Amino acid sequence: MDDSLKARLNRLGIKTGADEIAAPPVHSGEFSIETVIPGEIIQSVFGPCYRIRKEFDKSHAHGSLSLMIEGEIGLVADWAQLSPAGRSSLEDFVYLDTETTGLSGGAGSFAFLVGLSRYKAGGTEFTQFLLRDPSEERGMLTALSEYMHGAHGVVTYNGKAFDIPLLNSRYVLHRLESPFTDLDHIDLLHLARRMWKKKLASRRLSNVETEILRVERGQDEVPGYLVPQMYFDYLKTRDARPLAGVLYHNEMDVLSMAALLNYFTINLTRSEVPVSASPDDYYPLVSLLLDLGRNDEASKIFLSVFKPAEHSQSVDWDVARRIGNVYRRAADWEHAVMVYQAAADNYQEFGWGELAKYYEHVARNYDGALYYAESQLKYVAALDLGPFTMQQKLKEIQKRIDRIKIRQKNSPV
Amino acid sequence: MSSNVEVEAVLQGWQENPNLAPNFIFATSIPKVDPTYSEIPSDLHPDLVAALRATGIHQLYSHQRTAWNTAAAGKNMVITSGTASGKSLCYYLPILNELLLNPSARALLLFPTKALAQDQLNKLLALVDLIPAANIPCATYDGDTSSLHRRAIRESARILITNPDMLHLGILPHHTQWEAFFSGLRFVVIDEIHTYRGVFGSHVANVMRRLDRVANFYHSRLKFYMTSATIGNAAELAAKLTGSQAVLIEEDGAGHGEKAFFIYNPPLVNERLGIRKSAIYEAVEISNSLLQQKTQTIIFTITRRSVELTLAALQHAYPSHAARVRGYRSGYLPQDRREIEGGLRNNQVSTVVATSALELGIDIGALDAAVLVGYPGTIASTTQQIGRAGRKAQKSLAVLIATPEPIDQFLARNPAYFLGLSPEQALIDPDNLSILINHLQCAAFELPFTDNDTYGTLARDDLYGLLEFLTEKGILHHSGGQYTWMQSNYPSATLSLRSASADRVDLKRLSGDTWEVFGTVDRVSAYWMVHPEAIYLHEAVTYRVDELNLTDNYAHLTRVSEDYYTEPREALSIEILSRVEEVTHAGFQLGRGELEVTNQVTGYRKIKNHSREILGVGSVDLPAYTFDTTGFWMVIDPTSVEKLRLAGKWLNDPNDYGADWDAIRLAVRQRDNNTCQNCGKTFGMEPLHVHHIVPFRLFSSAAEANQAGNLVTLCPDCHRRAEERAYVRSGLTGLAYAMRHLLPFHLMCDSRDLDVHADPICTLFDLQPAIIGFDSTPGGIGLAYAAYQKIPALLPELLKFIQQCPCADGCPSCIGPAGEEGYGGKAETLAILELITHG
Repeated sequence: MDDSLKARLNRLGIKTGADEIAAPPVHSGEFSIETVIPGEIIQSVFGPCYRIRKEFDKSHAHGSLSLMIEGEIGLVADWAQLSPAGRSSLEDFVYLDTETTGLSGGAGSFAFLVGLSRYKAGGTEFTQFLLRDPSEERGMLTALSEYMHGAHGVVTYNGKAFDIPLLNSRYVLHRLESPFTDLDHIDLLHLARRMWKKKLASRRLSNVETEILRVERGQDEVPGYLVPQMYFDYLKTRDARPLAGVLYHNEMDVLSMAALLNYFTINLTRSEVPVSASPDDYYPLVSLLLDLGRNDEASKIFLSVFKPAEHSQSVDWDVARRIGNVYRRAADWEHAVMVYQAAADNYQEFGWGELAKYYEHVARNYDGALYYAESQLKYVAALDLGPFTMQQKLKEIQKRIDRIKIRQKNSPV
Repeated sequence: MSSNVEVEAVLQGWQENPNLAPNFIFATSIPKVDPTYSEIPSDLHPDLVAALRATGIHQLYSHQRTAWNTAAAGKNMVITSGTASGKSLCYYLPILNELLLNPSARALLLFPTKALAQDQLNKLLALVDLIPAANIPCATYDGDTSSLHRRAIRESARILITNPDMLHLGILPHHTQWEAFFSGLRFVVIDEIHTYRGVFGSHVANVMRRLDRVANFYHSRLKFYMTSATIGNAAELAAKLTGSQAVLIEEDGAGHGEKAFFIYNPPLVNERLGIRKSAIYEAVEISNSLLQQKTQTIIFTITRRSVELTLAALQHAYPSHAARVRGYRSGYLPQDRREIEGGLRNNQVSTVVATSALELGIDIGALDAAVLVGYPGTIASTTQQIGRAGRKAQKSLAVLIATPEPIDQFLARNPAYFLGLSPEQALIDPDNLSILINHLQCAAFELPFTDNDTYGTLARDDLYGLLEFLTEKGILHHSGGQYTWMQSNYPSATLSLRSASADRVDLKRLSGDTWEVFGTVDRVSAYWMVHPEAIYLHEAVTYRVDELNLTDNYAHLTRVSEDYYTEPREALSIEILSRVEEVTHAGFQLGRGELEVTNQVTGYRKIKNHSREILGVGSVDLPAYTFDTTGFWMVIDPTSVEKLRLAGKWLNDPNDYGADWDAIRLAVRQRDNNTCQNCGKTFGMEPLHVHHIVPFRLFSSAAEANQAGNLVTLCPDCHRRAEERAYVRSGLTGLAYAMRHLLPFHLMCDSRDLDVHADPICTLFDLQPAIIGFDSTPGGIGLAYAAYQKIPALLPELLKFIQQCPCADGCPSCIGPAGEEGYGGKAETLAILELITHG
C-alpha cells in the first residue's frame, strides 16, 4: 500500500482495541483444527466442511436426566402449537445451537459452529459443523441443509429470535435456500420464561442447567461472551487448541436442551402434585393449562397447591382469579365461592366483586351482596388511581349497591 | 389570504412610518410569471390520471412533464423548481406508474428529517387512496416505528419512507431481512439534496455507495430521482451523491405572482462603534402593518432562542393580536403542527415564527409575506425562505432584516447577489479518509469485499489499499478471495452521520438525583462547545458546563439563566506536511497544502447577549487535540511589510503628543538609563526613541496615553520593528476576521467548517506575517482548496466592504470589535488590503 496513505491512516488513529499487544505467532498447520480436534472433512455439493460427531447411548445421563424423551409430549406440543405432522414425529426433531461471531445480529455476523443433536436408534447422535475458515461457509450451509433433510422441526433455546434468523440470513447471503422455512420450532426459552419467571433469578440456559437440571460444567467451559473473540484469535494464529472450550460449551448447550425438553415432558404432565411441592413450580403450570383449555387438569393441580391460609404470600392471585372464573362459568359454586372467599379474605378486589355478584344474582342473599359490594367500594376508594379511572370504578360499584338496596327493599323478608 | 389591496396597504404602512422608511435600503420587484402548462402524458396509467383529476389536476406544469419524459428515458434526475411548485409529483408519477404496472417493483424515499418524512407519508397516502385497485402499501420506517410493525413493513411495504440515518443504522446492516424489498427496489428518491453538503453530505454519499452495493447483490438497478434548492452545482452534487450522472431539470413551470423584495438595515445607534438597533425589535415594528392587515406572514429567525424572543416581543407589543401569532418548532408533535397549519388556512393565525427548519418543505402552504430576521447563511436558504411567500397570482412581500453579522452587512451593501447570482456550491468529499474508512467497515459488514470488487467511484488501488490496512489492523480477515468482518460489534452502531469523528460526548443534566443524557456532541467539537464553564444552548434552554470528562466521554451541565454566552479562546499551532501549490501575487504569496493542526482550548470570554460587551474572561485546562487536514495560506512579503510600516507610521503619528511630551520623554529615558529595553544597546548621550506600547491614538486623552507604564525606551531598529509588529498584527487580525466571516458565505459551508487564523510572526514562513485557513474536518473536504481558488477575486470585495463600513475604527460587522487584541485595526487592515490588491 502507498506509504503516504498508510501514514495518513495511522495518523487518523483508527481504533482497533488491541493495537499495543504484539501480534500473536501464526502456527502453520501444527495446531490446525484437523490436527487438534477429532473429526472429518466431508464434501458437500458446494465444498468441504469439517464435521465432528459423537454418539450417546440411551442410558447416558446429563445431570439428573436422560437425553431421551421419557414423558408425554402432548402438552409441550400443544403449547408450541406444532403442526399435526410435527406432533407425531418428535423423534425427528433436531436440537440446534450456534456459536457466532457477533451477538447482536446483522448481515456481518455468521455462525462458525453449529451444534446439532437428533435421536438415532437406541440413543442420541451429536454433530458439530465447524468453519476452518469463513470461506468454507458455503460448504457448511449445504452440509447443514443435507443434515436437516427429513427433519420435521427444530428445538432451540432463544432460536426464534437469534439462531434461526441468523442462519437464514447466511442462506440469503449465499443465495441458497434455507432448510428452516416452514419447520416446526420449539423454543425452550419461551417455555422456561413461562414456568420460571418467579422461581429463578434468570432464565439463561446456564442458570436453568444448574438449578433445574443439576448439571455441572467442567473445566473446559468458556463463557459465552468470550466465544467470538476466541474464533477471531484462532483465525489469526491458526491455533485451534483453545477452540476445544468453545466446542465443549456448544455441546453442553445442545445436550442441556435435550435434557430440558425431557424434563418438561415429565414434569408438566404430572397429575399428582407432591405434598412438598413448591407453589412457585405449579401456579405457572396451572396458567399454562388454562391457556391450553385444559381446565380439568388445571383445576386438579390448582386445588392441590392452593393453600391461602398457610401460604398466602405464595398464592398467584391472578391464576386464582382465572380458575375462579372457570368454576363460575361451569356453575361450580362450591369451588368458585371458596376461591373468591379466600381472595376477599386476602384483600384481593376481585374477591369482593365476584362474591357481591354471586350473592346478588345466584344466592339472592342481598345482605351478603351488600356487605361485599360495600367492602369493595371502601377498598377501591382507598386506592391510588387516576381521578378519571377512580370515578368510573366507583360509579360502577355504586350502581350495584343501589340496585342491591332496591332489591333488598322489594324482596320478601 | 390577502388581496393585492391589503398588500399595498402594508407597503403604505411601512412607507409612512418614519422609524422604518429610511432603513429599507434596497427594493426590487420580481414580476409576475404565468405558469407554463403541459398535457398529462398519454401513457400515464389511467388510474393515476383519474387520481390526479380527483385532486383537481387536469394538466401538468412544464417541469413535471419534463420530469416524466426524463424518467421515461430511463435517466436519473435532479429537479430544482421552487417552493410549492409540485416537485413531489415529478417523482411520484413515474414511480406510481411503474408500481401499478409491475407488482414486484418497490421504491425508497429519503427525507432529511423524521418530521418531513411523516408529512410526506400523509401526502402520498392521500394520493394512493385515490387509486382503488392499487396494492401499494406505504410506510415510514425510522426510530419511532414500533417493533410490531417492523416485520410487516420489511416484508410487504412497497414504498418505504425513511431518512439516511435509519438507512445507515437500521436497514443496510440488516439487509437480509429486507430481501423482498431490495429484490424489487427500482427507485430511490432523495429529497432536498442541498442539505447533504459538508461532512453530513460526505457521509450520505457513502451510505448511497453502500446502498448501491446491497441493491446490486439483489440484482436491482436503481434510478435516482432527486430534488434540490437552487445551488450552483446541483448536477455535480447529484452525481457525487449517487455515483452516477443525473439530468438537471431547472425550469419552473409553476409561475408566481409579483414579488416585492426588500433588504432592511436597522439604523445605527452608535456610528463610531458600529452598533445598530436590534433586528428582532425592527421585525416587531415591521409586523405592525402586517398584523393590521391580517397578512399571512412567516417570520424566520436564525436560532430557536430568537423564535422565543420574537414571539414574546410580538405578543407584548400587540396584545390584541397575540392569539394570531404562533411559534413553530420542529420539535412539536404532529397534531400541534396540523393545528397551526390549519389555523393559517382558515385565517385564525396570521403570523408564524420559526427557525429555518420550516424551509424544508413542510406543507404549510404559501403565505403572503416572509420576514427573515438575519441572513440564514446561504443564498439557497434565503431563496427558499423567501419562496415561502408567494401565491399563484397575488402579490407577495419578502423582507430580509440584516443583523450586525459581517455577512449580513456585506449583503446589505451588495444586494446584487440576490438577483440571479448563486455563488454557492455545495461541496462534499465522499473520499475523505476519516469518513470513508468508517463506511468501508460498514460496507464490509454488510457484504464481504471480494478480490475483484468496487465501491462507488473509489479508485481500485485506493479501495484495496484501505482493505489491506483494515486487514492488518485485524478488523477484516482476508481468505478465500474475500475480506470478512472480524469484530463482534457492528460498525454502524457507533458511527453518526452528522459528525466527522466517531467518538461522542454525552451531555448530562440532573433529573432528580440522576444524571440523564439529553444530547451529544462529537468529541472534537466538545473541546470548544462544552469546555468547563462554557455556556451551552440546547432547545432554547441555557446551560453552563460544570464538568467535561474526556476519559468517560460525558459532560455535566446545569440549567442557568444568564444573559451572556461564552466564546472559547484557543491556542493553535500548525505544521505544514506538504505544499501542493504556491503562487506569487503582487505583495503576497498564496499557497495550499496539507497541514497538521494542534488545537487547545485555553480559556474563554463571556460576551453579553445583544450588546456583545465583553463581561469577563476565564481560563480552562484541557488537553490539546491534533489532526491532519487541508489548508491555504497567505504570506505577506517583506516589501509589503515595510510599506505597511510607513503607512502605519503615517496613520499613527499625530503631530502633537501633548504639551508635556518633551519632559515626559526625558523622564522615561532617564528611567530606562537611555538603554533600549528590547536589545539592551545603549548609545551614551544620544537620545533614543520613546515608544507608546498601546498606540497613542487609541486613548481618549494625551495624559492617559503618556502614562509611564505605556512608554518604553527603544533604539531605532527595535522601535521600527515594534511599530511594524503593532500595525501588522492589528491589520492581519482584522483581515483574518473579515475572511473568516465572509469565506463561508462564498463556499456555502457552515462557518465552523472553515477556520481562519492570523499569525503576524509566523515560524512556518520565516517569521513573515501570514493568514492560514483550514478545513476543520479531519482530512479536509475541499473547502480550503476552494477558498484558495477564490481569494484573489475576493480581496477587492473585502476591501470595498471594509471601506464602506461606517464605523470609525473597526466593529463586529467588518473587522472585529474595536479593542480586539488591544487595537482597533481598521486603518491597518485597509492598508494591507490596499497593498495586496493594488500591488
